[in-house]
Amino acid sequence: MKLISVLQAVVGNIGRNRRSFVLSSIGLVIGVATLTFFVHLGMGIQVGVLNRIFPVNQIEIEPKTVGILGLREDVVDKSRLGAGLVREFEALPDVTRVYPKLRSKFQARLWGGQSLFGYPARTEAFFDGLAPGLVAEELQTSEKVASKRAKTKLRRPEPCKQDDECRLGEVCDVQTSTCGDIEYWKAFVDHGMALPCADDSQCAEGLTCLGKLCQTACGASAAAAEGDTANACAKGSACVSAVGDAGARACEATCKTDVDCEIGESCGAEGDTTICRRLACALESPEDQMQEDPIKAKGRLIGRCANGVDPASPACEPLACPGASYCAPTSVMVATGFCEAAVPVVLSPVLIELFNNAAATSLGMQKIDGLGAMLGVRFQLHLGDSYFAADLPKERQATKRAEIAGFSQKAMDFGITLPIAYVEALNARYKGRSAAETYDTFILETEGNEDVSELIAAVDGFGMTLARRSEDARKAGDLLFILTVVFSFISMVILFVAGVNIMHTFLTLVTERRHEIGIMRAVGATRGDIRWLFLTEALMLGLFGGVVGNLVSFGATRLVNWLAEKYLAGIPFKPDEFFAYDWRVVVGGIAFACVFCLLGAFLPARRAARLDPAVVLSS
Amino acid sequence: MSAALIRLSDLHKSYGEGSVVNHVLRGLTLDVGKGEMVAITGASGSGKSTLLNIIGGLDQAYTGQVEVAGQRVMGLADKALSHYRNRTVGFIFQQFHLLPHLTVVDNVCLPSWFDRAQHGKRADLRAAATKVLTRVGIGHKADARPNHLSGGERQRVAIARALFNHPEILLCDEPTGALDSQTTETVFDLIVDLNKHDGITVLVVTHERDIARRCPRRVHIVDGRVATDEHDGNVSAVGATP
Repeated sequence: MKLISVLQAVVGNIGRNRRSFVLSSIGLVIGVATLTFFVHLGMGIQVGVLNRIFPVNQIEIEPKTVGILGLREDVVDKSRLGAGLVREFEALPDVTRVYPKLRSKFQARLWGGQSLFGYPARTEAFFDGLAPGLVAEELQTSEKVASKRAKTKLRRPEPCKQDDECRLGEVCDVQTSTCGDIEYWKAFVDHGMALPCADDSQCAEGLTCLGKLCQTACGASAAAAEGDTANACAKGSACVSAVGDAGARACEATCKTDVDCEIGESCGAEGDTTICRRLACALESPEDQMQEDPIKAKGRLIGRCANGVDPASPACEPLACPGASYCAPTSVMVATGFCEAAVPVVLSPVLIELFNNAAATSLGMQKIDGLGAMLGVRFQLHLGDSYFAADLPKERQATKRAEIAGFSQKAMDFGITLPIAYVEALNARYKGRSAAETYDTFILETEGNEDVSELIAAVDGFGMTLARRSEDARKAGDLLFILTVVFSFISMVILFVAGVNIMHTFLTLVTERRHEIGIMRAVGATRGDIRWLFLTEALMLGLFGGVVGNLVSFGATRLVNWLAEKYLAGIPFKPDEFFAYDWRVVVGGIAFACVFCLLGAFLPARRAARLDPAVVLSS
Repeated sequence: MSAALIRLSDLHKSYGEGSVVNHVLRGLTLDVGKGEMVAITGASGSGKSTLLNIIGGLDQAYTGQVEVAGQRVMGLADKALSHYRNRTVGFIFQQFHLLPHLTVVDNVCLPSWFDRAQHGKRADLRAAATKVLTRVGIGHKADARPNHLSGGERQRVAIARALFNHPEILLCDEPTGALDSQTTETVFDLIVDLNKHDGITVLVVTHERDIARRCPRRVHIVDGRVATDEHDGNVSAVGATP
């Protein structure tokens, strides 16, 4: 029997049995919809949540510990956990990059958030540092940068040269010279700090203590400090006289205008070149650095006047620290220091949930709705001061202003996370260079989704093990897999029941159509033709059920996304898309529906083929 | 009489099992020549319809020899047998047996669905079917549904379907049994015409004497055997009842 004839016959049959066709397909539709819905959900959670929070190609490892008399002891010699180990990990097969993480090793407090809570909150500050590149993508996602940019595009572009020409909440994009929404994630980079020091051991690796500030020495100064190996400056910087020590020489970035320099720096001539110099400033009194007032915090620049007169003259109109910078005195005892950008900070969404669920309720504070409201919020870090441990001497304590730049699951759950360069510099400042070079955990980035068990075995040889977070991620992945399997199994059961129902329907159809079968046999239909007619009808039913099931499933996924967007807006790290669509799942769903239909129709089709035409035609 | 197109020899056929076995055919032997028109008569249950089913390849559970156009029908595989039903014979039933959900023209085309040698386009097939319908006198009802037709018209559609693949033999099982006397006349006129003008061999099972009388040859079956085989003006008693 030719296919075209089969189709003509089957379409005719379906046409006159529309009702039973639709009724038989209900089970299939539900089964396929359940199957594809949960498989897409499982994949969506894997891709959109798990892999984003714990990317499959990033595993975090930490030194193994052993329990001795109730205390945990590291197995690995602490002094080995430095840059050398990073290079060794980078040499491992499959590893493409290694991101060390470093925790703060000294005491600090933080306070602030008056704008958010109504009065300043205070707490001990724990912080760690990681490479900004590791979280850049995640910060953009949690800040919804893409939709921000899309909205900006819809507005009429406003030309600008500086931030203050733009409306509140907008900044001037240097590249396009138009105003756009502030993108806070961009702030999460190392802006540099002017850190005072007594000797080289208080500066991070590669820096030298020159003029009581950690600087990159060059020329004769570097030769004295480190031999002749490192006396040239990196590309884009020049060897000029060091800040605070005219006799020494240090590297400073070269520039053309202020835009090329870091926040708080200014582009100026130095000898035959122009370089970025950190602007020296002073507050009215040392106590001002303890206050939240952003105007007072800006201080005034030393040696510069707005009207260009001699700075010593009484006619001098003072200048404040430019742009987003503030005046950071070198210690709490003095009022003079340098203009600096606020320290960018990334928080863990877990912390916000913890705050909303526990702290806000018991302390009677306002709950935080969504993460967007916290972006750009500033607070103060008081370094060297502690609620728990003994304070450092006053002259070594300092305050810094910090600004929330975004949210990341890689951030410390209970604490704040900074770009790693800050933590290295501060650890060196307060606990010596060795504290700046002893990393706590390492994130190993691998090429793709390959099995990481070999890599885990390899790092075991270094006395390292999978960090609890990565371990949890693996467990979560396994659990998700099991759940997906369970729901797939349930949908298989639904499909099986649908198959049984189809068998019943087709048995009835065979009885109803026995005369037709007899006629067809009389005019030349083989047994195979009759079987094919029924199996093709079943296949059509399967295709119909499969396609409609997929449509229902797609509708349900849209509905879930819409409901989530409407009612779960406040939940941090809620993905925009809960589902990952894959054409293979769609085709698989249709294929399953067809298979169950064919299985259900197999017996009835065989029975139809075996009918004796002489008997049915004479009855 | 021309050369035998259908040769039946010593046909035995029974229904049922054990003590309730009903022997329908008991050694029936019959030859039908090409172009003959034979009426098969007999009492109810004498095996007339069974005989047609055996010749038409619808019933394979019998013993004896059936040879049609030099081909042994018994023991043919399902495919070959289906091809035989499709090309060599055409059935006409008392109850018409049309498919109610198909149009008249599609009913006529039905044999082409199962004809593997048929490669015509649908339009060509429909044109051929319309031609046959015109031949049987209802070309104007091609797009009607069978349930909108009268009994006589339906039987004409069934005849057109039987003729579609140009069979050598037309097997008619009580073709006018469900029709009134006037329609009976016109429908049977058509069958006679097909025999006379198109040279199709026709076997008609009937219990209507008038119908039987219009056939040049009349075979009367009694107790599963040919009792009388009557050509116009020439009666021969074949197997006498024991």
